[in-house]
Amino acid sequence: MYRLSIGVTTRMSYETTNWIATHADDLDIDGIWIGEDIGAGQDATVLASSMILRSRNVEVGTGILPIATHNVATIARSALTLQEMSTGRFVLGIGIGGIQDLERAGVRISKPVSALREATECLRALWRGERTTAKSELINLDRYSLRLESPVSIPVFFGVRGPQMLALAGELGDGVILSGPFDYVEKAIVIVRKAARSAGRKPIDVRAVLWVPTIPTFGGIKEKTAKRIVALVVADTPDAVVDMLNVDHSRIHAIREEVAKSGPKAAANLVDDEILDVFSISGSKEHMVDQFDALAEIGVNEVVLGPPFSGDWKLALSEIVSETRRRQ
Amino acid sequence: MMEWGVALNLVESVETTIATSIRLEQGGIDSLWITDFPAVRAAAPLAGAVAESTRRCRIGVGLLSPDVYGADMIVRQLQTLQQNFGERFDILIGPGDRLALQRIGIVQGSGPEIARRTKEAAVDIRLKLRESGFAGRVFLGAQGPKMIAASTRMDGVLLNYSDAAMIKWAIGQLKEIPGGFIVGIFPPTWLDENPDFGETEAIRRAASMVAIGLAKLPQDEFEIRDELDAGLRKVSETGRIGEDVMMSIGNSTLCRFALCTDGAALNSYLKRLEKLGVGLVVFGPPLCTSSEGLNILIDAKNTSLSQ
Repeated sequence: MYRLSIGVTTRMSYETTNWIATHADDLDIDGIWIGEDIGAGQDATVLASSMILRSRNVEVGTGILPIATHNVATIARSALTLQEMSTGRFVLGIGIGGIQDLERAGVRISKPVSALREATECLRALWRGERTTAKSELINLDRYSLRLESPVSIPVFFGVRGPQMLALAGELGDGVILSGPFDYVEKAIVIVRKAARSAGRKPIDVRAVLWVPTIPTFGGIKEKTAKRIVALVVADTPDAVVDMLNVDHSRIHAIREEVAKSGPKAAANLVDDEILDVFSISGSKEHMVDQFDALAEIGVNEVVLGPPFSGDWKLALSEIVSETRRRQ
Repeated sequence: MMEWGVALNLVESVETTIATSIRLEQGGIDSLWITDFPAVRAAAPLAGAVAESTRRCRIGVGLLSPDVYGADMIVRQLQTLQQNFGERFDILIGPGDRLALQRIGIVQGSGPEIARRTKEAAVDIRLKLRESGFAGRVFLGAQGPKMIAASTRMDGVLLNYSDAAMIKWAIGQLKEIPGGFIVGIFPPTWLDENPDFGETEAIRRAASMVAIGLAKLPQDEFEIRDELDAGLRKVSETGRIGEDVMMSIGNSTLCRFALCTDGAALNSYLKRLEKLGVGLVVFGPPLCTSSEGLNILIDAKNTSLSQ
């Protein structure tokens, strides 16, 4: 049985995020994941605190906090705060960040795999209560300590895409947050599980979370909106992911170029039904849950119902969760 | 009437901070200030939890350093707090603890450079918060004359002084005080039925942190440059404030940088400050770690209301 969660982003309105937080338990979802749009919208850690305080039983996680735009000590302190506040319901998702977001923020990382490994090792050392010294591309700690009376355990999930990053998640992560088409996800999970085994871990110890744009056409969402969102998703999909797909790559490149040149609205014209189906989960609730079930078959442990939330999205979310639970 | 605030969040757990917040609000304290780095827990998400557990008191966030978060992230933190938890938040902006920041890789540069950067960030933060409809007050934490003078572009200042003579001097640096501007102080505080500064390591250490950061001009004004230079030399050798630093400065100087007293003396001290124009006192760490100290504070507040 797979878990079912809802994904929100910091760019979403307070009305939307607050509704999800206050209805999370009644909706019968397992978790809420918060994606940080770098430099935009609500603050991710304050939003996480609101989600934790307004819900009772659901897990709340960041998905993700980019390590390039936050000091590692701040990430460690924020995660500790949220973990205590939630009495163990908090999960820290970290990663490098979306390509376009980082470019806009003027951030470049020369060795992203090493950076994520070092950040994870630092965070865990700090939570063990160790006085930590580390110096690398993103980190510069000098005998820094959180002054903890006893160690704390905070699950660390990696929001990653490329093969080396996926292997790192298998080696070090408590979970991996995947995003991408079915073909890619299948191959990505194989990489993660293989790396976990190589590191002497049980593959099942690394939870595979899949965050996908979910477009319930029965919820009144406009097809144009769906295609605009998918055009953006395509534009933000790195080559490492595209290389694993059985689709005509020239069509992917054409969409990317159009997004860069004229924006997602114009690029939506290049998104046909096949591309829509590859990069999102859409259709009737029965069809969508069929797809979730298929994803669980290939090893996905948790499906995150991601934006766009438009049309009668509240009812659509409720019906998708009900259909999933009915089958489980 | 003078506003009484208490700074929370040093090394305590979230659970302890929330319990203390509830107790202080019920005890009549007007504002709770959630300190940030080098405090262990992060102020902004913790402030949300404090807001959710209290009803009336104002909640100050900070001191937040733009060198840790950047001005835009601080603006988003406060906007998100107000959106999610209501209009009870204030903010304190300042450069932060220079020595502690070095430990997490933030090297701040020279004193004038830090002051210039912090002032610019504070003005930017206040402007963006106002434009976004933020309803709270924006304070600048200040100790040196340039920062104190710059604070008049904020809604108020929290002076890093405890000694009445020093506070009087600092207020003098404000020159023209705008209407509605709040002069506050943020003294390291220890309250005890039998206070003994020399025997209380936590308050001596807190006082040292403030004293070590004092600008040259007030050092000369109060004729304590030699004592502080001795302490600074020790800090530059070890990179931290230890017993050797406290010994070098000496208790007679250190005690001027902290409030270490009992309940009765506290009220007479505050009356003197009120006459100087102080409208807000935020009783700083390590008071929040002392249950007895907090009881004394609540009793003193009730006494002040009945007088």
